This record gives sequence, C-alpha cells and structure tokens, in this order.
Amino acid sequence: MSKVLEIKDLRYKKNHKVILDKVNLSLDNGKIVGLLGANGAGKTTLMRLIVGLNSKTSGQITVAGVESKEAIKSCVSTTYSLKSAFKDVFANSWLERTRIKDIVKFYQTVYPDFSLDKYQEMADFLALDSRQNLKNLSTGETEKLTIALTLARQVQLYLLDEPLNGIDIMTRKKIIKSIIQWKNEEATMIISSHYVKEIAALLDDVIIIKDQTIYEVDSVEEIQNKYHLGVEAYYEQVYGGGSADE
Amino acid sequence: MSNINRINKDLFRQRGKLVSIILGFHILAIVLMMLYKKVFKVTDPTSLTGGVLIAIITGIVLLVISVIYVFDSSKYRLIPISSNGLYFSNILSAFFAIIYLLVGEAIIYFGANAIFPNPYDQMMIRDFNVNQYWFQIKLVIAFILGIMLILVGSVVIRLLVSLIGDLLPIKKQTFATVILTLIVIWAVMVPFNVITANTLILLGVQEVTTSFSSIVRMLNMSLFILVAWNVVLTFLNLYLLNRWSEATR
Repeated sequence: MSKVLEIKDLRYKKNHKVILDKVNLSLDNGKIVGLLGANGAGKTTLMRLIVGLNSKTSGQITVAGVESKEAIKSCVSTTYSLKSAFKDVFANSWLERTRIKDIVKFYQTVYPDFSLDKYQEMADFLALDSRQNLKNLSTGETEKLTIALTLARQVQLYLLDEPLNGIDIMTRKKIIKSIIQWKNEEATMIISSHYVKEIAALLDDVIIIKDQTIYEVDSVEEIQNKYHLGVEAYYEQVYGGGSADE
Repeated sequence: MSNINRINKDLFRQRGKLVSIILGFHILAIVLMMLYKKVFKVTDPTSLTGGVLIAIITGIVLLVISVIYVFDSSKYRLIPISSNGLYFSNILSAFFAIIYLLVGEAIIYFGANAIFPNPYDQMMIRDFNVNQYWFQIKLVIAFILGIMLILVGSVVIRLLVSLIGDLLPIKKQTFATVILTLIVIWAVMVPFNVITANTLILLGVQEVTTSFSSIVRMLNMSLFILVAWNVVLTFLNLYLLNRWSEATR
C-alpha cells in the first residue's frame, strides 16, 4: 500500500511556545483516520501545517510523494471556516451578498479537481439551497456546505477538522453518512473530532496527539486486540480517564 | 486554464465589482446633488473635484483591505498556486482595478462637467490642458506608482506585524496588534524616509528650482524612487510570504 502522507521530525513553534514537536507520521492510502486529542493539543495546527496554511518551524511533510506547498495543495482538500474566509471588504454591510452558488462558482473556478456533479449530489442529500446567503446559514448548514465542498474535490487526502462541532444529532448523522457515501475508495481521510463515539465506527486508524507530539498511531482493530478497549475508552484512558474533552 | 489564470479570473472579477460599486455610488451622489440643487433652486456652483478625491481615496482604502484579505484568507491560501503566483495575481488585479477606478473617475468627472458645467472645474480642466503631454503622462504614471506603493507597503506592514506578533511571547489581541502596527509603521517609515531623502540628494534634488525643466527633473527622480521602492518592497513581501506568512482567517 503506498503512502499518502509522510511527516518527519515536524516542529512548530508560535509565540515562544512549542505547539508540536518531533511529529513523525506515515499514513497509507484508502483509510479513514481519526485525529484525537484534547483542546489545544495541536490537531488543527497539524492539519494546517499539512496543507500549508501554517509555516512549519522545521521538519518535512510529503503528501502523495510531493513536498512543495503548491503541489501539496493540489492533493489535499481541507475544511476551513467559510464564514471567516469568504468575508470581503463589504463584510457586515448590506452589500455583503455571498450566496452558496457564488462559493460553488469560486470552487469551480479555482479547483480543476472540483466535481460539480458530486457536489450537487451531496447538496441534494444534505438539503442545501444554493440561493441562500452565507451569512444567514446556521452552524449546521455551514458545516454541511463545508463538507460538501471539501468532498466534491477529487484528491488523495481529505482533512476534516471538527466537522461535527456545534451541530445537532440529526445533522451529525447526516454528515457522517455523507462522509461514508462520498469518500473516494483510494483517498485517505483524516477526521479530527471530539465526538469520538460517533465517528469511531467510521475509523480504520487512530492518531492520538498528546504532549505536543503523536502519542500513538494504531489501527482500531489493534487497539481492540492490544488493550481490549474501544476507541473512545482507550482515548479516555490515554488522557487519564477524563481529562479529554469528551 | 492554468491555476494562475483561474485565480486571476476570480480576483479581477472581485476587484472590478468593488470599483464598479464605488463608481456607481459616485454617479448616484452627483445625480442626487444636482436634483437637490434643481428642486431647491440652489444656484451656487459646486465643484466636482472633492467627490472625485473622496471616491479615489475610498477606492484605495478598500483595495488595500481587499489585497491584505487575500493573504490572510484560507480561501485564497489553499488554492494550488505558489505564493509568488498568488502575490502577483493579487497585486496585478489591484493595479488594473486602480486603472479602472482612475479612468472611471475621469469619465465621471469630465462627463458631469459637460452636463453640469461649473467655473471651478472648467478652470481646473483648462489649467491641466497644457500642451506638455509627456509631462502629463509622467504625472499620471507617478500617481499610479504612488498608489501601488501604498498597496505594496501596506502588505509589508501587515506581513511584518503578523511575523513579529508570532515571534513575541504574547497572544494576538486587538490592543497589542494596534500598538505593534504603529511601532512597525514607524520602524518602516524611518529607513524609508532616510533612504528616500538621501537618494534624492544623490540624484541632485538640491539643484531643483521652480523652472519647468527642474520640475520635470524632480518628477523623473520621483518616478525612479517610486519604481525602486515598489521593486524592493515586492521582494520583501515575497520573502515574508514564502517563509513566514500564515493564513489567519
């Protein structure tokens, strides 16, 4: 099985504080991987470093055999805050009129790998109305849109950062269903979430971040065999039985 | 279509929309003002120069914000394009937006003057219509280069504030960022002023008199300095963007 992601001795420092250190990671193609860790453990930072939104202090990141930031961006599709990133100079005024269809058009324009058909299928499934204005979307609707846009790109690595945060149980179930339904067979997906129980059934492998580094990378099966625990129970055990978020 | 063309298309469309809105508002303001004068029978002549100035300043401020937004936004930083490509697309689209703004404002100004003539603006137009076409072209180029310098300089300030903020052992807070921005602006302005002043002296600014040839010489020196600073700050921006800059939104 070929490697989709390889990280060697990654270090990231900000405001005189080490956020991540000695991070080494190697992931195979075609997996769904859970990225778990307490608040502030560095999950989002790791994802941002992989895709080049943050500048690493030292180390090496390779995605699908490529190392340059530009090439990596062609191989990775990631979630990010649409409401914040799509703000323009008219933000918070009546002139701010970014509709879902404008965002879809932007994705079509800038990402040659964006599949409009795939997006449309997901948008129908998730009941997204393309005429809606971005600033009027609820948290759940924004999250659904983010997932649909991210998964509509045909890439080798997907990074979903807290896709279930702040949304109701029904929407969470719908998002999880769409992840299973529309993930490419060959692609790898890294999902960070505090809703460990809800995503556990999806996962092939688990990465746990603790003390600024990768504490463990294991398959769900191996965790069960080695520790006789489910993913959630093991994660809680790693964090001392309750200091983790969920 | 290459990735660079794709982002160019988006940025050109966005900046075009921004300038069109400013021009639209300006036309609306002129029409409303003239209607007001007609309805209330105001006979005092009103100069249109102030409106043009306000529209241009508003355009420059909004373009600066828009250019900085691009480097801060994950929306643009995630596009599979090099930092250099993103930088030049951003600056180039801002450059064409400035041209559009200036041409648009010139058309509005001359058009409004033809429809609603007033003595102040007619005098201005007469004074500018001397036969020194080459001088006038250089003046316009210097004006555009000056605006570009404001844009490029603002990016330098933004990237430096962000870099220094990340190196300091404090988390970013609005008050701390404002203070840091003021310090950075001051720290950038000191070498900028010293280098510009010394370069002008080296180029012979002290020999400049009020004669037309001296003014032309002064304009040439200014053009040289504007080009030089634009190039130097562009290299600095590219370095900061490639090595240190992070998306914040």
